Amino acid sequence: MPAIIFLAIVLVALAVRLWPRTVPFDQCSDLYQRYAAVDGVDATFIKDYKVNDTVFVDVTLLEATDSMGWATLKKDFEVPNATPIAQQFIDNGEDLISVKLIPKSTTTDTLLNSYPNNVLAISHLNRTLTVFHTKNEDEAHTVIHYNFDKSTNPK
Amino acid sequence: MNQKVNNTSERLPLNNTILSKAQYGDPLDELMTAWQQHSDRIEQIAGQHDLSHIKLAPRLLVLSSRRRRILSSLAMALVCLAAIVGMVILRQHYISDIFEQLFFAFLALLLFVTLIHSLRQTFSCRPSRRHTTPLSVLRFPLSVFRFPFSVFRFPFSVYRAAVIASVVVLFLFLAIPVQNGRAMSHGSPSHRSAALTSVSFVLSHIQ
Amino acid sequence: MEMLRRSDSTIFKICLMFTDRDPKNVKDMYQDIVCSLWESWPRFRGQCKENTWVYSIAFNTAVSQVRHRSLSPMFLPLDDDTYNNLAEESHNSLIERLYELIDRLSPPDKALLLLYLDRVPAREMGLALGITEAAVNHRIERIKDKLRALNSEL
Repeated sequence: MPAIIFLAIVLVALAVRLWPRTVPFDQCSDLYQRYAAVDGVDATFIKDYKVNDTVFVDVTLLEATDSMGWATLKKDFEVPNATPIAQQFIDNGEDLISVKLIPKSTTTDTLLNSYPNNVLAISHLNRTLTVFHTKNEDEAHTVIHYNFDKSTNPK
Repeated sequence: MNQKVNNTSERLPLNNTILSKAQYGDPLDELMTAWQQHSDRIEQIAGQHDLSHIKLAPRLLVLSSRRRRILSSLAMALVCLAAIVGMVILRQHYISDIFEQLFFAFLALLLFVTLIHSLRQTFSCRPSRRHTTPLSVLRFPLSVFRFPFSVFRFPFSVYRAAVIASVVVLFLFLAIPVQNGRAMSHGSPSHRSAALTSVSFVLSHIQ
Repeated sequence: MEMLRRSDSTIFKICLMFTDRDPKNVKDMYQDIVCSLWESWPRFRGQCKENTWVYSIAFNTAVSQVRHRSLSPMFLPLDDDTYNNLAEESHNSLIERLYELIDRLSPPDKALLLLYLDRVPAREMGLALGITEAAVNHRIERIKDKLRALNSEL
């Protein structure tokens, strides 16, 4: 009996710690909820993505699956077109990811207002908008100045 | 019967007069005589027995069972207390969602129950319950836990196992980090993998 | 250690009575009994005679066959001579016959018989076995009857 109790508790702990979970729709970000039903856009929400040992952020990933979807995203987020030089890089298959910090105070967009700070990363090559929902300016700066070589991001 | 007696005396060696007489007298009296000789011989052998090679452990290592129980219960109570404190500290850094919160709450409850049980065991081991001591004031609050269907009916070994499991779980939570992308809007492994790859790529190429 | 010296012969008698007199088994039981005595010694407060107390602990150990070896705070290297001598002494045909009768008794009866044979007073016998003096006398009579019956069978 004691051995069974011990094993049961440890196994439950491992399950709690390792089992992948699906976040219910209503607990995902407002941004995800809005674009989940939009044609031409593939939305994904990740809860508590680990940037480093102390920074965990929610992430909403919006991928345009066609030109209409990309146009919609660019319009909604006021993404400017790539400059001609940048376009050359893109045409060569090199991605230039630009970043925009959107503090809560500067936007009236209710979708972004639910978080104190949002970092918007734009990838023209992949037609993707990645929104890092950070809790404060420090976290936002951590994301913007992220150095992947020093990170230990497990997948 | 006589024939039997004769057969018996033929079977035994010559100096068996004691037992053959036993057929007629009280066998126990005769037994005592034979035993006395046997006992004397054993005394001689015992006298030659060399006991100097026997090494006995220092007295301190051989505690009375009551003292052992008290120390064991107290140690268990301290471990529970330390584990609860450890959980409170860990919770801030390593618990990320409601499932883990609930699980830790359950463990904390288990540790608390074991702590109370250990303290009860410690006091119940004390030899004199009638004397009022400063510590006896704790007996009343502890009696609150005397439920008819009480969990305290479980054997102490179950509590020990639960406490050890809780401590192991604390270490597991320290050693096993939260997986990235464990909680996502989509459930399919391929979609999860693709999304995580995309986010990693973006992070590593931000300019 | 002095207590052990004084009680050695008693322990040997108990070992012989409660085993098959094989030297290995006698040695095993001897070690178990000494371990029990060593662990219980701090609790002996002179509530009865020392020899009575030794009988009590030794009988309980012999009857319950408790193995203390894993917790044994002592080291007993092989010393076969003593146990071989004991075994040899028991192989005397008359003594063998005695043990044959004794082996047919139940463990509590064996314990009582040994105390009786060692001429321990009835009061001390009661203390050693945890029964009243009256019960001691009554059971002794029963054992005598049983031995008589066994003897005539054999």
